[in-house]
Amino acid sequence: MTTTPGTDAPLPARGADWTTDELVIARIARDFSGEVVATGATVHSYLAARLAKALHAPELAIVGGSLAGFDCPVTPQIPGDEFVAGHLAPAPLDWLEQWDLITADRFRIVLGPAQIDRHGNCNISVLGDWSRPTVQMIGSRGIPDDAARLSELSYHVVRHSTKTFVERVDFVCGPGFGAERRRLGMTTGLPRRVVSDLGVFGFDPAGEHMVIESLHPGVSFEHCRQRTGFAWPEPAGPIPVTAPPTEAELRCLREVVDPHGVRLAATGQATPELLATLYAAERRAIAEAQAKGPVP
Amino acid sequence: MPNKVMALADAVGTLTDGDHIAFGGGGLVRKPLAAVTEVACSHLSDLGLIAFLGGPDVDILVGLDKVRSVHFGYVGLDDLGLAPNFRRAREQDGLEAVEATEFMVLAGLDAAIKGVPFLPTRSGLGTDLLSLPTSPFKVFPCPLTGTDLVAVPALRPDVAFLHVNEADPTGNAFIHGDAFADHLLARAARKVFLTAERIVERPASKGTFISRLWVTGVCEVPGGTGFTSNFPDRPLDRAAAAEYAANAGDQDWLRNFVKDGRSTP
Repeated sequence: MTTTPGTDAPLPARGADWTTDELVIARIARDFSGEVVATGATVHSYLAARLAKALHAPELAIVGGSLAGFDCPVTPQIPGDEFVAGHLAPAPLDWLEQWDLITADRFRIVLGPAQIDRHGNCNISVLGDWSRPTVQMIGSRGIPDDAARLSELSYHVVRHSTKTFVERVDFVCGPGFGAERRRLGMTTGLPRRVVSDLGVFGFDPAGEHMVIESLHPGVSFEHCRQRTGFAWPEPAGPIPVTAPPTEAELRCLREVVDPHGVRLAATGQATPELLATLYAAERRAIAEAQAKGPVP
Repeated sequence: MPNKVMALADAVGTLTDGDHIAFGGGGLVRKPLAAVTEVACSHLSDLGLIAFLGGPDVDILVGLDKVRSVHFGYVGLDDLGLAPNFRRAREQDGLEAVEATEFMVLAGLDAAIKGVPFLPTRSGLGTDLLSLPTSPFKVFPCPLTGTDLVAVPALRPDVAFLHVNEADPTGNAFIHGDAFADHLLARAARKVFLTAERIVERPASKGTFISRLWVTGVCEVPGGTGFTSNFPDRPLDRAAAAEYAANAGDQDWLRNFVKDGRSTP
């Protein structure tokens, strides 16, 4: 299961009876709790919010299908859940109220940066120079808004690589630690945690940089070092291993939250057969939700 | 009572070159693609787009060279990826862009609505947004506390196109599901045209209300969101959306797609 130092051997796809996707979703889910909106900008982190609600944090308010449904019940995930959220939730959420909830810090979102650097700066806007980018992505969206309001920010990076964990982001959408934050006296949007397919990472506020909290089972420090575009401090001792998903987490994820396998489509593992199954499930779920109406 | 029912072509006929247009909806949800198609097939040029959450609306008009500048918080095709024409125009053609955030677009519209030159926000502090060459945002010291704030200038579209589920002939209308920034666009824009799934005498009171006092004209266009979704009337046409995402970067394909009416019902 371990990778050989000095090689770029592929990640173990799964443990004895779980996959990396399942581990990542379960790990992110453990951080959600409280009477707040819980959501994720990546498929895995969105599934994690729903897993948390189904398992240990029923008080969470799930917002689904963009803002089509506020306080959605946890139903089997389908690729596009706008109609299910719209039919089953008590009401849509107004975008202005969403920003009020964010300002009041009653909102937890796990963001999905294209780049994150050792200081916790993150980027979803452009790669290269902004004026003539090599890749125009989607724009800053709500990240600068979240960073100026929420107490802390967490991240999910789908593929840990030297392209995603970089020395310096090409464009700062969300400010990490550093001189600019100190100058502004900015206390909001503090980088809190990053989960990738290799490990779980936190931040040392004194040193203002990212640290390894744990590596997933089978991932060596050497492997993580090679896949990271900035230098990690030499580990002082053995690096903790991320706790694998529990039996209860796996069962809930596979049977309640994502029985159709949307998590596989999100990481490019879907076969045409799986996609056909997912879209059929989507059509069926929309028809059922329409007939059923809001859950009291 | 005023009767504002009109043909979509006549609504688009009131626009002039260089107008700033805002389309309602967000990403692949409730985009007024019939109106986008009408604009795309017109002689209009040099348009400015104001996009809270831009999708195929921005991508089609940029791809057909109708657009001078885009003021945006997001442009993309949601889970189907990046917007191919917007991407090419920014990477290769030097399309003028004003990058804002989601909240800054809402704040700019709200400033226009409230009749003030700007609204203050903390959005953008500490980021690279404020130092962009086209940034209209200005950092200033709060007159009460002295801390840094960001002034977001008022944003007033010349015209807004919104797709609603039901409208009456005077322009009273309801949007079911996610309203995005449509209720702000209705109040901020100089002219507001609704494309309605249905025009009825008495719309059911449900969802987000758009008052006729903001509305210039109402066009009955069932399926006016094209392949994007319109809750609860029409789900996303997944096959058509995927076909768009895969092919629209080819301008000849896009031109035919619009000309053949495949971007509308």
